[in-house]
Amino acid sequence: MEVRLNNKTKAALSAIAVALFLIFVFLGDKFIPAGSTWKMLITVIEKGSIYALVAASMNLLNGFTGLFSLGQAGFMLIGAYSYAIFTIPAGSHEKVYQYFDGGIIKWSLVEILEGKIGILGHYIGMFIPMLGAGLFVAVIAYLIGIPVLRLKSDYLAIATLGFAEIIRAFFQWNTLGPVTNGSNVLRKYTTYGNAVFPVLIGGISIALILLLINSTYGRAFKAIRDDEIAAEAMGINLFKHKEISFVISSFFAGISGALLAMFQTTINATPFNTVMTYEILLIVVIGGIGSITGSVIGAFLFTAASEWWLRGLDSGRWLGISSSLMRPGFRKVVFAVLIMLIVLFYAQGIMGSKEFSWDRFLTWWKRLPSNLKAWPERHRAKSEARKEARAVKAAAKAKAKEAKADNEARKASGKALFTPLPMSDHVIVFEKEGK
Amino acid sequence: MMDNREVVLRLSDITMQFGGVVAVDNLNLEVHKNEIVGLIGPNGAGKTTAFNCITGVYEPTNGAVEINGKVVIENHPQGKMKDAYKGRNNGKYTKAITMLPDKVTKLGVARTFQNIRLFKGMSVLENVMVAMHMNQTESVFGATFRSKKARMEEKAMKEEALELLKKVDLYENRDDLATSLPYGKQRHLEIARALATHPSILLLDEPAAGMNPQESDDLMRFIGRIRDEFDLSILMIEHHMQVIMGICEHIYVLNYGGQIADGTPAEIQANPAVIEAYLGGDE
Repeated sequence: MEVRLNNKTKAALSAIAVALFLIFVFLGDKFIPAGSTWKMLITVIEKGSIYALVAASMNLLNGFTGLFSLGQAGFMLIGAYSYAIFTIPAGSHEKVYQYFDGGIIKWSLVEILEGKIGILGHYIGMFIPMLGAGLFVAVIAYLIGIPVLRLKSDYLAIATLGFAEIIRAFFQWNTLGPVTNGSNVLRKYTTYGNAVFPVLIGGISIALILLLINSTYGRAFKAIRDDEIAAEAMGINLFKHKEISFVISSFFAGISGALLAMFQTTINATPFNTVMTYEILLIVVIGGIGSITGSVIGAFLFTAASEWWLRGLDSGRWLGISSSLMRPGFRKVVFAVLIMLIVLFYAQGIMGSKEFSWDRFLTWWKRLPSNLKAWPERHRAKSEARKEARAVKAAAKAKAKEAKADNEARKASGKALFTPLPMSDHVIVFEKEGK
Repeated sequence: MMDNREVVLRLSDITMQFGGVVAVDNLNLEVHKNEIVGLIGPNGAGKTTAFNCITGVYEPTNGAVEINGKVVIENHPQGKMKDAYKGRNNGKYTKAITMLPDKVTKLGVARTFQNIRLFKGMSVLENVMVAMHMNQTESVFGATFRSKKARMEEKAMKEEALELLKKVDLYENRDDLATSLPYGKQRHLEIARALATHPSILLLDEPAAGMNPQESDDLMRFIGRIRDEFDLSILMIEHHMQVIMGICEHIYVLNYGGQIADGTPAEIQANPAVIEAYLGGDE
């Protein structure tokens, strides 16, 4: 039975699902005591939604526009710093910028607005630097895009990776210390109070990315991905559309950078390196290049694995197994092996290039019981077929062996290699091919 | 024979030299309004290169391309090419006007490709709708936030695309993946996609390649039909003589980049130089 719902039902279902999820996260963060396993789930959702956003933004470039860009961590870094710098409370500047005489900027937007219009000002004061972070990153991306987007495939990857590293070095530059605090940690800036905040912002941003992908511009991006020459011949200005995609992707990377800053409560430029870009790339590949749903699922799986399920790999004991191999950093080894396995055997990722749809999900759900019931039967049939195939193969092998032995014997005895056929009108009899 | 219809596409002394190889040598060609012109020649004669010069994929080394009476591409040997240039008419052209392929398409010149280049990840309908993207005016923000204008344009685009698919007999396949279509239909789709850009001039690069006589017969009728229905002037490269001789009003013959003959199908069939190029002369 295939399920087909009309658009209104689908919208209602989606709204209910989203509302339930948000309520769960909100209450979960509020009432679950710290340290319990369930709290871990909330943390995973919190960080996962930030990674989901940056992965979706990377997928917009890699999966939908066909631009192999590796600059995402650099753009996140700019976003994180842009947010943090403007929200450190005035009283904390002396401590945070202790090596730079309290820094240049001595105020916090959140404090100023909160003083003027109360609690609403607090949120507006958080929202403006976050949006500003995105816009600033977008401007930087626009400038970087002018030279870089003329490059193709691997060259683009190398150039964007290079720019990301330059950005990181730039933010650690001591001369910029009064603004960026040099290579020291930025802290004490305003963060959100409940895990529902990053989920909400991430969700809205991903929805916007999806709307873009399903618009006429999204179609143009996909055309560029599929065939640049044909896209150009259809009147699509390659540079303009690549620039649009690059700038928008970077904007959302900036937003996710700001969210990550809030999640971590302290930031430093060092971790925004190539390893981080590869983590994001890993999420995109696991989820499926060209599927936003895949990126979201991949982000939650990755975060759950690295923060929760595979934690034990770094601390010496995992699933009851102890080994001297399991020491800090072993998790990374496992991830590296995982990405190799995925690329080798499951290059499509979890979702391929499909997106979530209620129709498909409900159809799958409805068929699940009967599929599960039929599973042992199918499994047996499969294994029987395999057995049969093996038997056929073995028989063929034995026959070949026999034929070979026969040939060897003939060769040794000096007889013909071919069996002479009976004489007829159509068949030419082979002469004896002696040695 | 004089043709008093206006000239919509004119190539003047187009020469394309790659390093020391002259791929197209002094090509002069005219396409009149509503005319179907053939461009033929043995493999490697420079036919597709000529197409690429018209559509802006390559910059010609020398010569000019005029579309609807306006010079849109012009070049003369510059830089290193100044000394290396082997073609004729050096010094006749002085300007350097280049144009990117998307701009040429906006001027009303659409093309298809020798080796079909459909957008693989998209449905038949989407393939056609992509080609209409350049005519929409909404900004990326409006399109993302589904402004009223964006919704209207999207709706109009879809309706027009479906209409177009009906005309080329692909309506039934509208939701199929473009690459899942049989070969002949893929060719039709490529032409439909080109038509979606609202061209006045259509360049077809070997539309009948790989088709059997029956299919190429259908294609011939199809090309004639869209010429009338969409008010097109058509320039086509083709190897199937049956197709070329059947529908072209004027034929240009290239060999080794050079233009060896032009004329009506009957003239071309009787031209000794053409026969020699195709069959080899007595040596």
